[in-house]
Amino acid sequence: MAIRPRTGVFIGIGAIVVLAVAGTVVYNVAQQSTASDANTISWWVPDWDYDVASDLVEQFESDNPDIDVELVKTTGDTVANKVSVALDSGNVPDVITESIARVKTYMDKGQLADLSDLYDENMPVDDFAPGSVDVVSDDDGTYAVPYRWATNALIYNPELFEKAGISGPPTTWAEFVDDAKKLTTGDVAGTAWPTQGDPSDLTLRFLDFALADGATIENGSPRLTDQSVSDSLDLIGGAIRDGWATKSSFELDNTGIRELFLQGRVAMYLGGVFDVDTAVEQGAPVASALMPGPDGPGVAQGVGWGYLVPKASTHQDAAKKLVSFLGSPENMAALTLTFPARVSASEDPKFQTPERKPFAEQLASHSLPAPNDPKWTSMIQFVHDQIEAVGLGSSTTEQARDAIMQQATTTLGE
Amino acid sequence: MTQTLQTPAVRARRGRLGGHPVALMLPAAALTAGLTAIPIISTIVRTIADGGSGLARLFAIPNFWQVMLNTVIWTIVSVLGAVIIGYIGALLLQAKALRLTGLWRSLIMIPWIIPGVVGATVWRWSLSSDYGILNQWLLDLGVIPEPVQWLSNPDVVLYAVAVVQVWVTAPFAVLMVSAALAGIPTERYEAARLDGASAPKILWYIVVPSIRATTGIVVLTLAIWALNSFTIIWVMTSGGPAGSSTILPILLYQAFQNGDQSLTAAVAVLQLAICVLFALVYVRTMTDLEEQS
Repeated sequence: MAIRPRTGVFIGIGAIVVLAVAGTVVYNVAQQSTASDANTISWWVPDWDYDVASDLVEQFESDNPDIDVELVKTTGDTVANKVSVALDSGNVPDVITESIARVKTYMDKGQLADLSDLYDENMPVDDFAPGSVDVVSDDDGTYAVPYRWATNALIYNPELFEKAGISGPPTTWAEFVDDAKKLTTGDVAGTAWPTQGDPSDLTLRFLDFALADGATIENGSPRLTDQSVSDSLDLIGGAIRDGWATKSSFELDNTGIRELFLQGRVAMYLGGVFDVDTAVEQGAPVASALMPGPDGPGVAQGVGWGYLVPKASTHQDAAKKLVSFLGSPENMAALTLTFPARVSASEDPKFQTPERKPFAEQLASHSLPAPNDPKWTSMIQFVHDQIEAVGLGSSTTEQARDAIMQQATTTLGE
Repeated sequence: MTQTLQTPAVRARRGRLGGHPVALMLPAAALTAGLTAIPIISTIVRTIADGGSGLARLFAIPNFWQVMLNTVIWTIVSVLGAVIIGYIGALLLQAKALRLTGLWRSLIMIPWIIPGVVGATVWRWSLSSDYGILNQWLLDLGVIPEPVQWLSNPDVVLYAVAVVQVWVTAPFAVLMVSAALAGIPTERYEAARLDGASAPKILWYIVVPSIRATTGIVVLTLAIWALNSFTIIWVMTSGGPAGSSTILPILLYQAFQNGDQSLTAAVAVLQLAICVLFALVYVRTMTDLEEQS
């Protein structure tokens, strides 16, 4: 069969394209194979750590010339989904920086390598923040190395407090409510709650209040009480309903609240040390204090990030070597923007500023590791919606409390 | 046209390729089928494999029926709004008095072209109770006494986000209806005018019947888009407050975020079933159209 010139050209171009694609695939496979032989490991690192991580990797590679580290940037919004899909599929990196709150989910699925042997005299367990290693351990092993640990504390605007005739930050819930009501005038709201965005931002605060009021955490799972749930619902949902927390809370995430605070439109809120740093950088009036509780300092949940090595990683030894390197106090301090998980790393001057001291005290003396039971995670959206329903006035505190308690019984067990 | 198809050159060409069309299409068809079929089958298998517990839990979710109702309202408002604006926009673009038609046509396309996240973020800020420019305008004009809680009021929020979906998808409707209008022979308008038909009568008896098929396709396409829409609601409200703007894709993502694979698969299967219904109607409409032509 004769082929016309134009058809021949098309066939030729098609063949070139096919060969190019096939060649690329073969090349990549070969590269991966070569990389595997060369002990190249990949580390998924969040974007906020990327620059410092690059410097640390350079140092690690110079100390370990037989290991190459490939950095892959993740983001706070996407890391959970990305890691979950990678671990489920078995197509994994060798080291992952991931939220400690999600580690148990992966542990329960048997997707993580045991890192117990990394905890030795150079990295003793008792040098870590209380409970931070326990929450990534079970009877069989320890599956992460926490490197960053933090809690919320009270952030307030001293100028607005002074204008309202309030002498200092609230230390109890009653003072918190009274002060917020006094501070709510005109464009200024006493406080605000992050109901938009990640639902766990709101339930974190809800559970902080509940833990200060009789709720406990057992085996990584919250045990709520009627009283603690009612009081927490009143402090958050009731505050929005009654107007001493801004109604626009329904549109605000953590960043939105911080923006309003920087503009002097929110007088105080429960936030992280990042928010204080931002306010200081911008020259905004800011001070911090311990979180108020029912009768004194409240309880805040310690949340953090750590290093994981997937069980499916093909470079376990090299990956563990990198994690061990990153777990040294000086490297932990270098890579930590909040507080390091190791106590000995906290001596770095950057953790000792006046605005950070209440956060450090909250962390050291009035904090608990956050629950990491996946069953609680599965309840978060429900609890979040119940708090919002109270804020909207579509549920009473009692109705929302009963709904949450019933859901807790069903999901978490008695 | 039939004669054109019968020319010797075309016949010769057909002869050369006559045995090959299926073979030529096979790689692309196989790839597409694989990429579509594998996820669908694995999702269905996952739903069945857990004994249907995911589906049972889905129907037991306290706000499940609210989510379904939200999905219906969202779809109807989004589709109706986009079709109405599409009709109006296309008729305006066809008006002889309109100058710079190309410019207007390009401007109308902007909402459809810009990334969804960007559009949704702009609208989120525009509708904000704290900073929103829309509230500021309405306050300045004395239309409202205090800021409207567009995204905080559970009675308003679903319609507010549906307006944004209309804003994004209406250009598609304008484009499709414009193309259909251009296909109406001018003789029909002239004949109607000679018979003394008024503009509304021309619209009702000439224009609407002529573009009925296109309208059907536009409605179905918009409905499928609305049913699968995620970005606008997620960026603007995350499904809140208290689930009042949660539709099926948002529920699916929430289940996925919780790592609840069986519930995720169950929501996906439900959504698939609804979309299949629309797809069947779509295919039927397309087949009818081909037969008519």
